[in-house]
Amino acid sequence: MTDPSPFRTKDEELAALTREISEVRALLREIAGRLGRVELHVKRAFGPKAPPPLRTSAPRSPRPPAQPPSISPAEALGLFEDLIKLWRSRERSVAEQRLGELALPDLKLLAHELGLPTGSKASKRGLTSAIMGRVNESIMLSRNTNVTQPRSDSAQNEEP
Amino acid sequence: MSGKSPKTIATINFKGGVGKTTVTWCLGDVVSSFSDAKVLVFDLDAQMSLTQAIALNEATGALHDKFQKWYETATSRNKTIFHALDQFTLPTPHFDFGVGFDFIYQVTDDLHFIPSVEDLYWTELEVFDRDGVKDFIRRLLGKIVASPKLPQYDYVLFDCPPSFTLLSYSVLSCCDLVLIPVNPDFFASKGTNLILNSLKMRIEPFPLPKIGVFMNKTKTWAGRPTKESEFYIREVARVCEAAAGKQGIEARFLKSWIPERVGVKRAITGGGVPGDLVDPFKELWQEVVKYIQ
Repeated sequence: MTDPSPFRTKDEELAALTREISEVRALLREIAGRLGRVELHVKRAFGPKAPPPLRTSAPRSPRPPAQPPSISPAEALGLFEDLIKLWRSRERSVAEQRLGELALPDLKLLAHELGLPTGSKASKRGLTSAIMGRVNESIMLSRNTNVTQPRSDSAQNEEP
Repeated sequence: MSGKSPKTIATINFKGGVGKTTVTWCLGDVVSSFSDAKVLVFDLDAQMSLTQAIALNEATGALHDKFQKWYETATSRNKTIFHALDQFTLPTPHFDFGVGFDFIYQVTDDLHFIPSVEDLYWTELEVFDRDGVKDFIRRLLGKIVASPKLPQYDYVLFDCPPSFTLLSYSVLSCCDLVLIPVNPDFFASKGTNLILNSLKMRIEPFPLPKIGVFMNKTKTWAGRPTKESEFYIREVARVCEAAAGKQGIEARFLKSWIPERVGVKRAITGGGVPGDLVDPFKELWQEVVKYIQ
C-alpha cells in the first residue's frame, strides 16, 4: 500500500493558482476603484486643469450706442420700482405715461437691466410693452389668494 | 439617546423640475466629501429619482457596486421607508421598527441614504389620518439617533416630493429648515409665493421651521447672473421679505446661488458634484448652516 502523495496534483495546483490570481484581481480592482475615487476627489477639491491661455487677437469693440442713456442703471431700477408702485395703486396709465416720456436709450437701458432683449431695431413701443410685462410679472409673483382659512382662525371662529 | 440630534433640512418646492433632488444630493455629497460631517439623505419622493440615480451608479462604477443588491434585500426584508410608515400607523403602543444598515445604505463612509419605494405613491390613499402620521419622521429620527449601530449624523437632508404629501407634512412639522430652490423664470418663481403664504396655515398648530429660498439653475454670463436672472433674484427676494412680514414667518432669501450647468445632472450618477460646482454648493451650505444655527 502506498501513501498518498502529500503534494498537490497538477490540476489542484492549477485550481489553487487560479484562485490566487482571482483574489489578486479583486484586490487590484478595489485598489483601482479607490485610486479612481481619490483622483476624482482631487479634481473636485482643487478644480480642473488651468484653462488654455486666451487667444491674443484684438477684442472686438462693441458698437458705440447712437446716443448714451441719460440715467444710470441704478436709477433705471429705481424707476422700475416706481412703476410697480404706480401699477399697484391702480395708476397704470400714469406708469405707461412715465415710460412713454423716456427717450429710447433710457428705455433700452431699463429693458437691459430687466434682462429683456434689446436689439438694434427695438422700438419705443416694443420696449414699453416688454417693460410693462416685467411690471406685471412682478405684481403677479407677489400676488396670493388663499380661499381657505388657517386652522387657528377657524378654531377662534368656532369658539362660543 | 446616544447623541445629539442632527440638524434637519427639507428641500421642497411644489413646482417640479426646479432641482430639488439634485440640490439635496449635491449638498449631501459636498458636505460629506469636503468636511468631517456625517450626512444622512432621505428620498421621500415616490418618483424615486434619487434612488434610481444612485442605482445607475452601478454602470459607471463611480460609487460602490452594491446598491441594487442591497436594495433588493432591504425590500424583501420589509426594511423600507414604506414599511417603517406602515409599522408606525399600526394601532399598537410601540413603533416596532429596527433601524440599522439593512434600512440605511452606506454610499460612502460619511454619506448614508434611505431610499424611496414606489409604494409611497399609494400612502395617501391608505393613510387617512394626517395627525397620525405627523410624528412619523420625528420618531424615526429618534430611533436613528438612539441606535448604537448607527453613527452620529450631523445633518439629515430630505428630498421631498413636488406636492404636499403626508410625508412632507411629517417632515415639515419637525425639520430645522425648509430649503426652497427656485429658478430664474416666472413659473418657477411663482411657486415661492404659494409656499411662503400657505405653508404656515397647513402646518398649524406646529411652528413653521425657518425657510431659506435660493436661486438654482442661475443663468450666467462671465461668471455672474445674467440680467434676467438678477431680475428674478430681486423679485423672489421681494416675495420672501413680503411673506415674512405678512405671515410672521422666518423666511429669508439666501444670497448664494447655484449656476446652471448641464453637467450637474451627472452629479448623482457620475460620482459627485462636478468640480466647478463644488464652491457654489460650499457657499450655499455655509449660508444655510449659519442661518439654522
